[in-house]
Order: sequence, then C-alpha cells, then structure tokens
Amino acid sequence: MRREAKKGALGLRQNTPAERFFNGLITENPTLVLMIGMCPTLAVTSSAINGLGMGLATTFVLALSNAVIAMLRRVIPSTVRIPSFIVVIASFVTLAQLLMQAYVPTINKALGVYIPLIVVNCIIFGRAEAYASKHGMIPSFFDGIGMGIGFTCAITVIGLFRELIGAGTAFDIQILGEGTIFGGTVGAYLSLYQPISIFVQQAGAFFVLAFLIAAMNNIKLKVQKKKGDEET
Amino acid sequence: MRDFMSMIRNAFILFFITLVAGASLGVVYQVTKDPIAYQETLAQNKANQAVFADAGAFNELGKDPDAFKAVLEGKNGITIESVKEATSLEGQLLGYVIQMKSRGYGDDIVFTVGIRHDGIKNGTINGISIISISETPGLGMNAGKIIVPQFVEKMALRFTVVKKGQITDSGSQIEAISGATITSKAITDGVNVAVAYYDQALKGEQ
Repeated sequence: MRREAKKGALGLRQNTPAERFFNGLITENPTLVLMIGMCPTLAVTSSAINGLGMGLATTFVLALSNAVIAMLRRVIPSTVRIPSFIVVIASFVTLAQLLMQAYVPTINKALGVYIPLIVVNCIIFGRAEAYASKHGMIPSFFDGIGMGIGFTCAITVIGLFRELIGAGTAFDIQILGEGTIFGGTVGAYLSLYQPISIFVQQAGAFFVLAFLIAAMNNIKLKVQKKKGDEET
Repeated sequence: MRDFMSMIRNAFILFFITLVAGASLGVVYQVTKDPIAYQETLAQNKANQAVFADAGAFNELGKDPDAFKAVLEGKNGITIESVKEATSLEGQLLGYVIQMKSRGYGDDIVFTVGIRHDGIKNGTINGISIISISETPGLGMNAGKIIVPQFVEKMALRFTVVKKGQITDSGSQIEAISGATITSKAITDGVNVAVAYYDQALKGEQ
C-alpha cells in the first residue's frame, strides 16, 4: 500500500522527467483538470493558431522559469520569494518577446498583445510556488514542459473548435462555409454551412471549454470504472 | 537586531536577483536590437510598397502641426503615425503614403493609406495595407478582404459606412462587414482623416 502511494501519474515513478511530463499533459492538465490559467484560455483561443502560439510561448517561459527557480530555491528566502519569482518570470517573458520580435516577426505580430500577459498567467506562478520551489532542477524543468504542452494542447483544441464552428476555418484554412477548399459534392455540402459567430466571441470560449472538460471527465470516469472492475 | 539583519539580507538577495535579471535582459536587448529594427523597416517597406507598387522610393515628410490639429480634432482613438511621399525611380512625385492608427474592436489597427498625386488622378485612394490588426477572427479580421478593396480607386472627401446591401452611392459609401461594424468604422474613419490631411496639407504642394 505504501509503495502504491509513491506512484505518480500513469503509474510512473514520481518526479522522473517522464512522470512529470505526463502529469502535466494528462493527470493534472492545467486547463482541463486544475482549471488554472483561465484568462488566456478564454481570451486568446478565438483561433487555433493563436492558441498554439500562446501555448508554445507559455511553455518556453514555464520550463525555463521553473528550472531557474528550482536552481535558486535554497538561495531565495521564503519571505521575499514572491517578488523573486515575479522577477525571474517577467525576465523570461521579456526575453521571449524580444527574441520573437527579432527572429519570428509573423508569430510576434499575431500574438503581440498577449505575450506580456504571460507574466500574470497563474499556471507559471502556480507551478513555481507549488512545485519548482520544492523540487530539483531537472524534474522542475520537465514539470514546466509537461504543464506547458498540456496547456498548449488544451487551448489549441479549444481554438480549433471555436474557429471551425464560428468562422468555418481551421488554422486559417477555409473548411466549412463559402469558399471551402474541398471541391466536388463534399465541397458543395460543406459550403452550405453558416458560421455561428458567437463561438468566436467571448461566450463561445465558455461553451467549448465546458464541453471539453465534460469529455475529459467522462474519459476519466470510464478509466476509473474499468480499474475498479479489474480489482474486484 | 536579528530581524533587522535578516531583513537586510533578504533585501540584498532580492536586489541581486533583479540585478542579474536586468543585466541579462540588457545583453539580450543589445543583441536583438538590430534584427528588430531591420524587421520593422522590412514590414514598413512592405506596407509602403503594397499601396504604391510603382514607386521606387519613399521619403519621410515633416508633419504640418496646424493641419494635424485641424484633422484630428474630435477624432478619438485616431492618430497619424507618419507621412511619406512616394516617388518613381526617376524622382517624380507619385503620391503620398499616410500611416494611420485607429482604435478597432480588439486593439489599434495600424494601416497605410496611399493617395495618388501625380497630376492625373489626384486624390484617389491608390491602396490600403494593414500593418497590424487583432480583431475577432471570422468577423473583424476579414477587414483586409472585405473593407480594404472597397476603397481602391475611389475619390471622396468623406467615406461613410452603411449596412451590408444598403449601398446607394458606391463612390463614397463603404459596405460594413456584418457583425464587425466597429472594425469597419475604425478603418473608414482612419481613411477619412488621412484624406482630410491630404486635402489640408499636401494637395497644394507641387
């Protein structure tokens, strides 16, 4: 029984890089399970590409700030840990923005206004406080990667659904509605689609998020039930 | 006394962390400064070229403060960012490129307006090119496809936005994107200010 308790996500050994990665991606997915970082989840997911870019930028900041905070965890006194964390996080965000401006201007153009908001994304601060300040550098780094990729997947999928239902496009390619890229009979049927524009507006984010969480919970319950059946 | 000492120690550690962070950001800033400036001129040239495909050079013009005040009076959220003259390779004046910033629904929309002034088609809109826009996908983001082409080759003192399908005068009316009236109005108002500035400050010059 005691051995069981030590097991982490997906039955992997705790605090190993792989366990941390799958923990962030599935077991403790920040968006769909922990429900943190809701502001970017609701605000930037009006298209799939925005979600993807925001997710990747967040992953970069999360992984590096987690690693640096874990490295400094014995140096930073607990009374000034919050300002210290903010300084580290804000530095990486500024770094990410400067690099994107210089070398990938197209992505920077699409995400420009959202990048500074990463500083106040509570996933980053939450992981610094809850994990990186108590664990070593390598597991913290992979915790950041896992959480970041989990966040990226979740908001890209939300963005994809909102874009598809609300504007008929997926990654800016017209799939449904007028001007669809599909030809022939399929194209003729698809072009009949009328976009439901509420989905690209703010309210749509709540609808899609709710459905995704419901789907995730459904899968989790089924897995648990299956496990229960096997044990008895 | 011990409390005081630990406070000093904590403050020193925090100071040291901010010092290292600041110094490393300074290094990155220095390294990326030139590439960023280069990317900006690249984007700028592309936007200029987009509204004056036949121009060979663009020269920044001084701003006329009186005309500025007059055309921007009562226009909230609209600014003129720069005024340039477009010349052909032989140095002949073709027209003006006015860069506008106008408050949209999501954020500021930055775009260039090319106004022809070559003695033949004085005052017609040669083209509009959007430099940065972040409006709602499927609605305001379609401005480049729906709103911008409507201005091309038109000449008017003032453009007005009307609902889809209600155009009575195609010379001065712009059909709004349904569901994105704010975006449509932002761009149209910006173009109006650019045209007004042209009339006040540039038209007379030869």
